[in-house]
Amino acid sequence: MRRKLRQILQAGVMFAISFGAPHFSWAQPPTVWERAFSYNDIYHFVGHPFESADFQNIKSIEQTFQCECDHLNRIILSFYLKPKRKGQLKFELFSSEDGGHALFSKMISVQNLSDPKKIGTHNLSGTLYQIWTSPLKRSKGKTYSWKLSSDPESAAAGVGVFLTTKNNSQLRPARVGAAVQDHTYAAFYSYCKYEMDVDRILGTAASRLGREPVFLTGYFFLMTGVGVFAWKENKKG
Amino acid sequence: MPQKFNYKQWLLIGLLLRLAVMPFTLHGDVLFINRLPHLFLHGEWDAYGVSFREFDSGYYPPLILLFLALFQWVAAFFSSGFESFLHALSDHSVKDLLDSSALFQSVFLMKAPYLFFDGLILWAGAQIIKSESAWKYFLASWALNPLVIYSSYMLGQFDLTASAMVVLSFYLILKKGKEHWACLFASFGVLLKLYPLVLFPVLVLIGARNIKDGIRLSCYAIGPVVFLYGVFFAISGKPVFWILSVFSSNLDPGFTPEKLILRICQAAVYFFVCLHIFISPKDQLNYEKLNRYFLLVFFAVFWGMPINQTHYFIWMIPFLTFISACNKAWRKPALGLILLIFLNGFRARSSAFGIFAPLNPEFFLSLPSLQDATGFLFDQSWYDWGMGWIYKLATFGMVAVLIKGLWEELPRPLRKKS
Repeated sequence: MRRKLRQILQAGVMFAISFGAPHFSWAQPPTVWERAFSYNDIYHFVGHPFESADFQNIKSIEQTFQCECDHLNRIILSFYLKPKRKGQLKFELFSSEDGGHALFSKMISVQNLSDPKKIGTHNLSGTLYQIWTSPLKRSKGKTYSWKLSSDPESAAAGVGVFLTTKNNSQLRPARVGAAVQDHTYAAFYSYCKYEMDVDRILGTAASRLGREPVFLTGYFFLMTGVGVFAWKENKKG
Repeated sequence: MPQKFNYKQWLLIGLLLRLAVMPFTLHGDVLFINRLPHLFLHGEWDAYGVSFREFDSGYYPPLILLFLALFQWVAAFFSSGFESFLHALSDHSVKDLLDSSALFQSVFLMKAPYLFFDGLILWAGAQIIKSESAWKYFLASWALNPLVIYSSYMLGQFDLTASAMVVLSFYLILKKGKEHWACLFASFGVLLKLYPLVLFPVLVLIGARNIKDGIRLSCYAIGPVVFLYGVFFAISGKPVFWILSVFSSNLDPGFTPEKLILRICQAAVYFFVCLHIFISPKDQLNYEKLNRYFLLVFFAVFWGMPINQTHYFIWMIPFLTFISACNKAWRKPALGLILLIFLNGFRARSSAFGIFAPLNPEFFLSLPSLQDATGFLFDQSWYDWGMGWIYKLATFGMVAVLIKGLWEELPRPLRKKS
């Protein structure tokens, strides 16, 4: 009975893994491993996000950002959607070092975006759309730009992104349409895949602990004192 | 299990568990909590105005602002690193703060005052619980309580401060001649975290001997709140109340059929508690009965709150622990409820493994949270809905048991009449 139950559970998990969660959209389906361990580098759905103009009018939005981790592999865009929406958007990712060539591009069908829902704790209704790229090695410290533009052959309408005026040292003001808008940034997230390396994990922790020797020595004595006191009580008992 | 160790050992085990996590765990909330008191300490009297204008947010009630400012002033004498860390809270990102060279000591010091309030709760518990085995159970449950350790000493939320004030008022309201102190402590609780406001009518009804006495006790409860809020309102104006705009079903004025049912249920429970206090003979009132009144009020309040905000549930934990200590039948359901709430706290990465970010931010914040797992296997909204309903049904059952017990305790003629 127990064995059977285990088999059913395993089959369920394998089923879920092989199909992925239905409410996400993928540029390319990542493995479970790639999805599970990722570091949130930019979290910029903050402040009071507001709707940009419709892509029908502005045609494109470009956001430049500095990545602070290696293996950049995911960008989550926030869209607002109108009931009547159509066309296609082209997503492109550029590196400042790469002479204007797109590192990655993907077409997004506006009609296929999932219906708007409340986003996080904000009283805003929209859709978060995940774009996965293969991990970009040594992305730490490099400057990238993502650009969303309306497809000339199938112009996008009834869709736009959320913007915010909240500052972030990793972001440059967004280019909305033809002009760069001061103090305006796209509300989006970016993630890097975390590469598991036991030496690096322990090394980082050790070096961080090593920065506060005086405090940690005192703390160690305090903990030992409390522990010894409790142990002595046990002996008394 | 509680019998394995003596009182002192349980106390030390509790202390050890708290100390073990204090310097190595961090959540953004504790940074937010400490930012404004530091500005206030450095002469920014219009702290609420600054928070509203510059950070787009409100802040908690004024007493916690004053208390933390005072604590920071004292602690800065012992650690200059702590002072610079607090300075950096206003204009540095969490990422920068995680790279501070005084991170562990600062995080430790920010949570240190909670130990005092933990102690206050235990002191009051020792005064209230007379049975030795019940007291040992209370102490052991408190020492090992995952919600208290996680919410206060890992997340760094300060709900324990208000909870201690409520426990003190719970203890004092049945002490003859000290009812006004009970109302005063409840008032301090409101000035720390607002929620004890719901207990004012309950406390006044229990403590007052007549209408005049009721008015006197109400003044003790409301006076300090009006005074301190008045002072800060005179300085900052409306931003003092901005915290009320934070999302909560209990404060959301929106009207839906679901909310109407919620309000009716909450009002019915509250009305029952007040009526029961009013018609019960005063000489039959004891801590066990009072505890059931408090629990009923808390259960009703929590029906309107999101289950994943684990720190709110600290308001209720002393009373849930008390009923489990005194009544063995409550032990398993209470433990189940605590575990259900505790497991719902690990939704975001920053509050799951990510809480250990001070040790290695990239690694710990990269590890999946409960939401990542549940959101992968099912639609996350189904999971949230299901957990919310499990919680609500469990507490509905508990409320029914409590009400039935209180009803049966009413003197017979009263039961017939009503």
